[in-house]
Amino acid sequence: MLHPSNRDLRFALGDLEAIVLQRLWETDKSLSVKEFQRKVSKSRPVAVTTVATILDRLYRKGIVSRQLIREGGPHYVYSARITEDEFKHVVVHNVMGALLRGFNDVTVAYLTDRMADGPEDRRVISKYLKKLKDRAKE
Amino acid sequence: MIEFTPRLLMILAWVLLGPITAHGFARLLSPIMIVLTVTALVLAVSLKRSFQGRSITLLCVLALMFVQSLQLIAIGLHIELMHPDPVSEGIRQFFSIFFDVNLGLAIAGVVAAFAAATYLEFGKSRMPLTRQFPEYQFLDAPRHVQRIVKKLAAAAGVQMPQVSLLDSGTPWAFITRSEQGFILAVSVGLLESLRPAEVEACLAHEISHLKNKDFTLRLFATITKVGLFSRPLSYLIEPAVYRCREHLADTTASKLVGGPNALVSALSKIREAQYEVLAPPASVGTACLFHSGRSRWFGVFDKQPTLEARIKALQDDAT
Repeated sequence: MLHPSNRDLRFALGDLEAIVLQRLWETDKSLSVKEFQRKVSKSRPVAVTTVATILDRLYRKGIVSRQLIREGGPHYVYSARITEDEFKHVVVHNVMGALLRGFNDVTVAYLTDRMADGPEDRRVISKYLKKLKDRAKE
Repeated sequence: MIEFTPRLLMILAWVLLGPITAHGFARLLSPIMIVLTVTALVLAVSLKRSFQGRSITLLCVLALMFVQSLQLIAIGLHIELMHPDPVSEGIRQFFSIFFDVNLGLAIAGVVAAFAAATYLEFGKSRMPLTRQFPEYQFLDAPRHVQRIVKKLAAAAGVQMPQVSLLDSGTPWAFITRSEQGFILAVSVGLLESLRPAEVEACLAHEISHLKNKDFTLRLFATITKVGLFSRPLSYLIEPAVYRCREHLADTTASKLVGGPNALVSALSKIREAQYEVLAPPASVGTACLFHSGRSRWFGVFDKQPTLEARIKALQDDAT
């Protein structure tokens, strides 16, 4: 589900999913559900059950990986499977891919119009156009 | 205007109760339909909880099923009671179409009920867990969970079910039948996000389904629904039975763990998680720990009461 009005990760994820994922990218080690809950609670009060459910969803979406730890009662430790940049890339790839497949002409025309506003944008566009021309020659 | 009254009556009866049995061979089938209806009544009556204001739906269904059984008996005795003075050949033909359709539906219902009973008893319940839940992995349950289940089963006076750890991060638990008998599955998510007392209360809820013999009752409820499938009201019986047993399992669980507080707190925490995300899919023939519930009006078709209703019922019991 996409929420085009949001200007951050919430564009492609639920509110809490985005917060949890941000916390996950902030640390470089695996965290248990309880550790996550403590981290997320700093910005927004949330129950452990909620965090557990959200992490499970992120896992089923393939965004996080997890490991089952048996010691001290069974629990998972979660870590990010993809970086923030990779995630954004996947979102853009999916959205733009769908637009280009469905409305090829309109999408390209729109992009050219919107991107040709400033000199810097025009430079970027001509760079990509050159790339396209080179590819056409091959 | 008068000659239309019996027809209108028949249509109204058909809409509410399904096509009605009439004459000839159909009359032979009336006893079978009556037996099925009476089974439904006995089932409903045996759910004592419903009379403590637990389920208004069930009471309504009871009343309407009673009317239906009376109607079946009356029609079985003599259809002319409904329209003592048939006015025209046209109306007579109109009725006979109803009767033929109904005869077919009644036969189909009995056959389907037999098939459903066979499938539920020997097919579905003999399926291994991995086929019932292909998307999940089942692991060995930790010893402390096994110990709790053993203790609860002993307290409830039932045979201890097999305990499995469900490889899922979402907090949930369920009890179901498989080829190896009853299996109680509890998710890693439940164990890691609830306090030990709350986990115990959830396990007690599942054990209570065994203690209250809910699987047998549900089998009867389902067979009744299938047998009476041509009567729209029958679709309310089965879910009502399920919902009542769910409340009863909560009450039994509270007794097993010495008070409703732990269960109320566990259900509240799970409800909180539900506000953010959707519940995992519950399989047919499985007693699941919780259910997200549909809108208020479609609730009569839900097999599980909402968490709000369950929490409220437990709190009412406590006061």
